[in-house]
Amino acid sequence: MTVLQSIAALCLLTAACMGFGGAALTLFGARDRLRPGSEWIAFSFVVGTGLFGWIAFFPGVAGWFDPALFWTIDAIGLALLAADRKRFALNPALPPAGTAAVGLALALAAALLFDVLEGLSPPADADTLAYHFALPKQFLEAGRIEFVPRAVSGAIPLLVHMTYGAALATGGELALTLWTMLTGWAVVLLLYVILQRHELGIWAAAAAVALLTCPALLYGGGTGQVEIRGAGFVLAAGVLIADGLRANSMRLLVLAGLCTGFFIATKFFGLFFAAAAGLPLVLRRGGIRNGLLFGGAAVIAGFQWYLWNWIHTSDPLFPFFTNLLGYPDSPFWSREFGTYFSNILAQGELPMRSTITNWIAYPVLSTFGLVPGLEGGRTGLGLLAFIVLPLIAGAPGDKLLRFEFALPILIAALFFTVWFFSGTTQRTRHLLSIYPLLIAGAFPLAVFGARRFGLGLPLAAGLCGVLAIQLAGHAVFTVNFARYVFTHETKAAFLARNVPGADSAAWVNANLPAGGKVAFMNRQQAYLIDVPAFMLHPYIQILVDARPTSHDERKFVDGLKRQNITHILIPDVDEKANEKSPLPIPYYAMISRLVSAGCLMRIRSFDAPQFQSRTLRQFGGKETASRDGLFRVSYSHCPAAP
Amino acid sequence: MNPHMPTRHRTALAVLYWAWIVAMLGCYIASFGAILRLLFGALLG
Repeated sequence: MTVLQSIAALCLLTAACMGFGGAALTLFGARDRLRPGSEWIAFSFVVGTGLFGWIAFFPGVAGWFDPALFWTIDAIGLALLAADRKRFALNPALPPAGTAAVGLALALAAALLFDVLEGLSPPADADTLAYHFALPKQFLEAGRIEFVPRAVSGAIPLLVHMTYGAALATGGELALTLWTMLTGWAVVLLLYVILQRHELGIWAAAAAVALLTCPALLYGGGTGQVEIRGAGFVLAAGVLIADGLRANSMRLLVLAGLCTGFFIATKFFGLFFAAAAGLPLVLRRGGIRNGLLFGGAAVIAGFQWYLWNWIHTSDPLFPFFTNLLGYPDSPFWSREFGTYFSNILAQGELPMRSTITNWIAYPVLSTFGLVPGLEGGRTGLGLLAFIVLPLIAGAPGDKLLRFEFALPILIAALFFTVWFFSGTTQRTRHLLSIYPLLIAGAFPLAVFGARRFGLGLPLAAGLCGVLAIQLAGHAVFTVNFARYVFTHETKAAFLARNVPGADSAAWVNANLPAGGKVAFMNRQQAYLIDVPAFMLHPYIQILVDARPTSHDERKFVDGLKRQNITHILIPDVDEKANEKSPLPIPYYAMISRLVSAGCLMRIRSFDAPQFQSRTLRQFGGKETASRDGLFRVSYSHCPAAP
Repeated sequence: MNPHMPTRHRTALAVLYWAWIVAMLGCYIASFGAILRLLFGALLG
């Protein structure tokens, strides 16, 4: 695949999404509400991305998931765009010229350039390699959407991943990385055009650049992480609800419901958003009718992945209901494993107790890095909200209660509350989906407050400070990608520098014998391994029990045999199984016994240094030496199944 | 700007808001202390 082909495929996919979105906006009565040009382009692209992902699911599960499918969908979308092309004529809603505008334009140009460098580099983010890009690649290789019986990273809503499949199938990996860049930018553009509705001038551009450079977007925007893409659906839904209620338009509420459904089909947290957005809708006059329209549309747009899970596991939110209701043990899950999974989740993802005090304190604790487990620094939401917070109180009273400001803030607050008390992960980056909606409601009020009390100068200074800090962070983050783009570094060398286990994955690709299948423990290798493979994850699957507490070699070998595994790639047993240690890890002791028995025969050992941050590693960040071992399974020397 | 507000009130508000901005930026930068030490350490050899 040449660079030109990748760019062409990317352009076609973008045009197709705008075509689908434009048709939906027209069908549901948004034509009179949205201005042609930038506003129409931003809304249509975001809505169209959701529609594209929705459409691709059905042929995908029916056994058609290949480039031909995506070229076909692209062609239909392009035809729709061509039929209404005047509406998409570029009409850039630029802020007024001036010193501030020039400064912001330079900041924006720098941020966009940094993003392009990331987009031109191979994917290296852990979650992206583990499943965001690995699953579409797996489906394309299989020619169909397959059910992946893994919690958290397999049996999940995958609407946005359908568009990743389209980019990968039609334009290769480069189109895929650039697609994530573009879909991240689209949300920033959407926020900007929404803020421009309130005649904020240069302030709107400042808020948009603050979003573009906020740590969570740096971290997830150019990767396969779905939060920012979900944020597009959330932002569109929030604004359309406000528009629909003000205009008493049922069609706009249906469109808002569809956007909500797209978020539901993108991430389980979409259900929280549906509840948060639906509540204020239902509590108003005509709420039952509006709620039914909104909810019905959300169900239609978002049901598919939940049905898919239910068909395979009887649990639409696998493994939530299985754990909660104590479903009988199945090949995919067991009650005992469910308890273990819940404990592991609580240890790793819930650094705070869900109390009222912590709920109130969360923004402070996260933003200022007071609870490291929230990861609110390097991957948080930045300082913008704290800069504008006091000014919101100064906004004129008649503006404070207007739909377009109050509703987004209310929905964001309800979402945060449900999310915080639900017992799910507390990492701040998961709030990125709702953050632009909060800005859309709160930022204009802050600007009104600043204008009212003559506080424009300190607000500008605060925003400059935020942008300077974030751009500095963005620059540091980009050094890694610049090194790849501007030097002669090969892709293999880039991956070796950024992904623990990349070397061993490359070796396996080149040397695994025909008919072989490798089980790997390092989840980041999922996207990198091209031969038949199985993720031997210790915490999220039970097909082969690889928990640290696993000690039954017969059961372990039986699991490997059932998955037709011929080789396993795991952290090297010599380093992990210290039988003399007072607390040896039972799993590694078991592996050691299997090696001694000749059941596992070491083929090769690889350096696989572990590090906390790819970015900081280059500056001397903490690194731990580690090795991976590749073993061949010799079943004739293994203990027989129980 | 609200023309009816006394000048001293406007000044007080501006001072308070400037103080807020400085405090927030200062606290935020300080929260990255460990990373900043690492980066400056690398830059200064």
